[in-house]
Amino acid sequence: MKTMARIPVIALVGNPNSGKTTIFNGLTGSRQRIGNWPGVTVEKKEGTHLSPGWASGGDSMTVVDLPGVYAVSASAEDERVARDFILSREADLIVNVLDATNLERNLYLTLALAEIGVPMVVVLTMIDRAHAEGIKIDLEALTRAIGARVVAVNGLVRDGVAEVSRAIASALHDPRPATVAVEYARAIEDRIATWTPGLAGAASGVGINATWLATSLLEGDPWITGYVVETGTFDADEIDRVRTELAAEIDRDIDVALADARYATIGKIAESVKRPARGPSISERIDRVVLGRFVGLPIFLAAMFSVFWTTITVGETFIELFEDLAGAVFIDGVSAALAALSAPAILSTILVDGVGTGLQAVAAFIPVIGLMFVMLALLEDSGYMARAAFIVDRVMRLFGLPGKSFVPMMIGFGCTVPAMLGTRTLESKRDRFTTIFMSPLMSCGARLPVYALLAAALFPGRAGLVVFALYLTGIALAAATGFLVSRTLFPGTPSRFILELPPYHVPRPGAVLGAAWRRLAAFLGRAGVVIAIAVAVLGFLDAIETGDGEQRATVLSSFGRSITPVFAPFGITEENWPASVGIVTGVFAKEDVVGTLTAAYAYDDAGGTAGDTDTRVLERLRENFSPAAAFAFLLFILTYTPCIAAVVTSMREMGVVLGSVLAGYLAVLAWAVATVFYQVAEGGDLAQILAAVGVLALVAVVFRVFGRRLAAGGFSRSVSTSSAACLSCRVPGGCAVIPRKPPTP
Amino acid sequence: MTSETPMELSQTLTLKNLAPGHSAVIVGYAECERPYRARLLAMGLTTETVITVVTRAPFGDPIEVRVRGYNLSLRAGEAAALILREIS
Ligand SMILES: Nc1nc2c(ncn2[C@@H]2O[C@H](COP(=O)(O)OP(=O)(O)OP(=O)(O)O)[C@@H](O)[C@H]2O)c(=O)[nH]1
Ligand SMILES: [Mg+2]
Repeated sequence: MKTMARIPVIALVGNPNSGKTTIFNGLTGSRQRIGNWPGVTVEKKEGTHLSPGWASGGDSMTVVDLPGVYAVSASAEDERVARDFILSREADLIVNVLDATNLERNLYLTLALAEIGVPMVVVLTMIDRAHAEGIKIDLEALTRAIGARVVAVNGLVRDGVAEVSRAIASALHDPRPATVAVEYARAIEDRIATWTPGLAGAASGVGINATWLATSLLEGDPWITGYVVETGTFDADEIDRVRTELAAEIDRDIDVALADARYATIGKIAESVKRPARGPSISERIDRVVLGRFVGLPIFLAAMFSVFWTTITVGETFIELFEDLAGAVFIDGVSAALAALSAPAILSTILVDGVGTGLQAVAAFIPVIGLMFVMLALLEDSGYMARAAFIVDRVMRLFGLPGKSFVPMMIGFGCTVPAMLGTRTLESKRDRFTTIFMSPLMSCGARLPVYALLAAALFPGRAGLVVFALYLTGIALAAATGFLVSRTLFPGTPSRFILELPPYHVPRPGAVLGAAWRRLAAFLGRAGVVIAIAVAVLGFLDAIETGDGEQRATVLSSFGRSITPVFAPFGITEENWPASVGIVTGVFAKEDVVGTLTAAYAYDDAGGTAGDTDTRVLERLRENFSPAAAFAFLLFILTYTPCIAAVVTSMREMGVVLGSVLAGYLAVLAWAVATVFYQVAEGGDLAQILAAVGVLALVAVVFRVFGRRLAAGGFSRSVSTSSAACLSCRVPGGCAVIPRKPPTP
Repeated sequence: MTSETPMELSQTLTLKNLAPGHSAVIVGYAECERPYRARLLAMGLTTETVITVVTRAPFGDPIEVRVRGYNLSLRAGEAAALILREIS
């Protein structure tokens, strides 16, 4: 038995959607996002697992959850994370998670892990589904064939996780690689054998098996080739020559020959699995209808529409209830407490009129936001998400994007931050960045309260329609942005489309409600803090009086008035300076807009008219906004610079420069769109319209120029088309896509 | 080496002209953008694998196929990289 000075690290590795995160959450008690589509996890996540015997001196261990991969090579950012971690050998043990209903394809990765030589155990998940499909697995035979410990579990239940834990604990006593080996054709084995000794140095540098390195070189893996060339072991021409020779000798493409041999081995392993002969699966039968020629599109649109319609109409009916509840707590409760403590009046103004009103305003929209999260979780758990991407692929291509981009954008209706991270599953940088540019325009949950508040005040009876119009406008602006950006900033062609369609399953109510609740709770926690801070700061600014005229003037109101001219072209009047302040605080978080707006009106009113705070706010909104100005204001809120968290995320994903470009672009776009709408609807000032259009044209030109510079800097060479990528094309017949390099003398 | 089995003569068939419900066998790869082919190979679209068209998207493209017991979607144009031979 090996004694370990440090806490052992185990990593979950497996195909996308095989159930890794489900196991991770079970082992560590975490609540990471789970969904029924490939590519839910895009980052490395760590947690701690206490093994069953922990209390009596057993182990605790660090568990690492990774994005799903089909092979140990990478063409997208999420795959790179997984590959780098596997090859780093940081893990003492790899838990290879396989989907039991889909063993053949999942075993391909297992063979690679065995070739690399990482210590591992194998966990078959979804065993419940496999049994339901009538698949019979002989675990003993499978264990023998793979040459590693194998357990089969249902990852959704406690017993399943406990079994995984036991398997890990016992494997950690003696961590060993799987013994299964692929038998390649004689000529290939010979080449691998001649290369292996020379690669020992390069391999030991990273602690991987030299044979695997040699095999990957023959396969033409661009990243491995680059690595080996860099270590100076072989030069690129030599590798090239050997590959060309070998390809000629076996008279076929090497990578095809290698994959064929691996799947032949898998075929032998899979003899321990009996799958009943069957016709089309239930999912396929559903797909034939749901994706059908004539009904496919209407069903898709109906599904999307029902997400928003349910959210808005059903959510709306609960608004009043929550408003009253929140009012009782934040306003009546707090003012009673303050009175009992005989606190000074200024404190009561800030805490009750300011923070209390602000929190109440957002709390009122809990049902709407919560329902949005529920609808999205339903979509995520059902299996329709990948189908939606499949349906829209054709249309998305018009905007220069692959259908896969649709998934992160859909997530954006909940929150922009995970949407931006979700783009990591896209194969090329250009697709990824274009999608990041579009994602803030998918109106997030935090913007809903702003829409709902103004719509309730100015469009009573038609609030649902107004909100729906805003969502549609957001989608249209996203499409326009995609169209613009993919032609100017990030020119190129969308990457290829290979998307697994997972089986449908009936969403589990507990999982859907749990996921929605966690997102809602996170949102409310954040909203409570940012609103309280923003409104309290504004309260103090409002307490400092500046003017000596007949009108009450404070630092806050003078600041608000001073920036209002910028927003005047879309109908914000000087008396309506609280709206300008709301725009500023909204940069921190969108729900701040509502908090600020209500609080600023309340401060402005302080000592003035009496009455119920919420009706007073509605009155002030009606006094200050014409319907056209209100809609223009909402258009601005929809479009402008996303919250700080989203801006920071975009900078992390694209770099500070492009992140700033995005923030600036959205601010300009918002101003132009709101101005054009307001001037056309009400203002009628042609000069303003022309100015707005001109600004947009200028943006397009700037993007074009900037895009050229990016391209010159080698930007558009994405992971999938890098020049090293086509080594395997040096075969007789040549490559149809990328012209051949002149033959080396 | 692939040994040519004495089956019916292969004409160049690609996914595009395979109707829903019909199956074909993968004979080889035509064109070679490496990462695309590497991905397909890793996902089990190797020589002699049976591929069945399940349905097409409403706009006719992409195409949903079944291969090795799971479902996958590919664009018709790009999947021309797969050379197929129809089976009844
Ligand atoms: N019936 C059943 N469903 C499972 C099991 N394990 C996971 N699932 C479901 O399978 C889907 C995928 O699970 P995840 O844990 O997100 O899979 P993942 O491997 O982390 O996926 P990626 O992060 O996309 O690579 C979810 O809908 C789960 O609810 C299982 O053992 N049985
Ligand atoms: Mg996951």
